[in-house]
Amino acid sequence: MEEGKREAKHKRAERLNNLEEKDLEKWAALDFARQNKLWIDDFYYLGKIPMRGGYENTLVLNEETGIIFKSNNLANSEYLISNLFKGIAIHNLLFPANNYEFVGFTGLDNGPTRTPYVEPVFKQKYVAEATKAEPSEIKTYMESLGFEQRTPESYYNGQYLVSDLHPRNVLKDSEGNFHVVDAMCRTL
Amino acid sequence: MSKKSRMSKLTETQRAKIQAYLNNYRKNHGINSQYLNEAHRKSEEAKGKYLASLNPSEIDWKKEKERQNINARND
Repeated sequence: MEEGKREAKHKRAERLNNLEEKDLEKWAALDFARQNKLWIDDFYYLGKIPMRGGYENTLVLNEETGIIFKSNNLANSEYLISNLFKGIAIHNLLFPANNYEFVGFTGLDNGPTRTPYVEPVFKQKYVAEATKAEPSEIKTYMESLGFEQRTPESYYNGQYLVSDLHPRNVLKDSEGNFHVVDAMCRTL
Repeated sequence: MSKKSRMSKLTETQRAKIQAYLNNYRKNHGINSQYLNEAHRKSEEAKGKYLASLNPSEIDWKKEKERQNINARND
């Protein structure tokens, strides 16, 4: 019983530390964005056309430049900005033709006493005239890159785990090229 | 150690960490030097050329929106 209590207390302390870490990252991001003019007051100013996003991204398209902007709510990154940046760096390494470029941070500055709400914003070239790849095509494509399928949507190459490869995240253009436009990438 | 001083110490660490990520990110957002293999490099080059060849002013955005809706329905 005592052991259980100690464990629960330890878990509570750990949770607090994680919360602190998340908050501190947000404060640091806001501070950094303000200092470097990377704070985006209005995300919808970047593109006029809202697009359909997944669970973690809000998307707008700038049709003049063919650039899609993604504001990430960190839901798939354990709410840590650093986790997202790690994943994005791996995505850019594995899929450089569909790389993400960091644009800045957006959200709510809640003043000096309350933690700000922060979402990192990235941009990516829009793949026009594309259709969703079939699961079998995704498997063949990932295998051609040296990955092995682990679950229907995740692949591993001995170093990187790439998951969330649903058909909506892998597009096939009119030339027959595959584009991984959104994936969860991490080192394993 | 008070919570305030502990927080400020961590803030510095986190700030440095994020700054390093961002600096690295700016430098590497166009990473093209590391490829898994030759086939991957060629495939990425082909995709890069295809994307660069797209002229946004010639894209039918209305059709694109319809395509997106159809894709979403098929999900």
